[in-house]
Amino acid sequence: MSSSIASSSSSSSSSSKKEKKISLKTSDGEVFEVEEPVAMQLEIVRSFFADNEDVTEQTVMPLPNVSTAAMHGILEYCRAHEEFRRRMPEAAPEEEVRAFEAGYVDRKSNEELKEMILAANYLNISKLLDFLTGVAAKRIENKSVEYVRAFFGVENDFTPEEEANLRREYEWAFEGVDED
Amino acid sequence: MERKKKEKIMHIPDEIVFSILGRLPPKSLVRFKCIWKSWESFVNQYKYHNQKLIVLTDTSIQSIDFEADEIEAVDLHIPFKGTYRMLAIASCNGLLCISIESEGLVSKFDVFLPPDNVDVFDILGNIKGRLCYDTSQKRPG
Repeated sequence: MSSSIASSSSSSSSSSKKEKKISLKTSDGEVFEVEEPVAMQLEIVRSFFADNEDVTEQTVMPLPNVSTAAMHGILEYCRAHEEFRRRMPEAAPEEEVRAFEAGYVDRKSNEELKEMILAANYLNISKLLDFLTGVAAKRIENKSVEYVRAFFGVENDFTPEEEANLRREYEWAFEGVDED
Repeated sequence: MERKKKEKIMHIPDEIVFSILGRLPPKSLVRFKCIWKSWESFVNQYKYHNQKLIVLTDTSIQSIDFEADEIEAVDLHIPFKGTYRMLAIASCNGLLCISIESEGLVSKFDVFLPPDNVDVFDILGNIKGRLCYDTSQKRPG
């Protein structure tokens, strides 16, 4: 089913020219062998390898805040962008990038989206974080207050009177909201 | 209805929540004031002239005048708008401090002064470098 670019089949029978791989270990213990240019899009990885002289190619970098599921999503995005960059080093093919990005998030639930946002933040991939926060904004833009509370997992901390007052004051902002 | 799963609620750090909120159109932002108290103050910090609210989206800076007969968002005309991503840092009595980001780096801060009742902002001053914005306040999540 998931025959996407992200499939992490990396059985090490590489008789062809050897591409340097970086090993990254997720919170649930899975080790991903990631092509160097892709891994370097993760700023946390890039600075780890730049700042530590005693790391070698065998070093497995632990990423305790990233689940395996989130890592699949992250790598799918980074691999696609590396591919775009390789094909068109000067300027990314805007249309294609947009088409990829649209399809990429459509398949993700809100929970998956949030998990990816947290992972992109932790891994410090500003481009992806920027993109995902934009997606989150689009998803909640026309939703009700209750929906957005649930989305972010925040408790209502207004008294019923305070909330009623706000709703009355800004009545116009509550018109034409999507159903949850 | 589908959210019965006893999922652990993922805590999204405030800085990310606010960067999401900062991309919302004015109407959503105003509606979401009543989600949570700290969101209300987030939205309110862009108030100026008491009855006006400054709202930033990805592509524009708008103001909403709550005293107008018909409440609507008005595009503010800011020089070099749209060229970079902008972030409002603070506003006070009609002064608006905006940081301009290029390539992910905050490169400069501009202070704008809106003349009364005219939604055109002039550049008042321009501060380069590390003055006025303490990035250490962005705590890691």
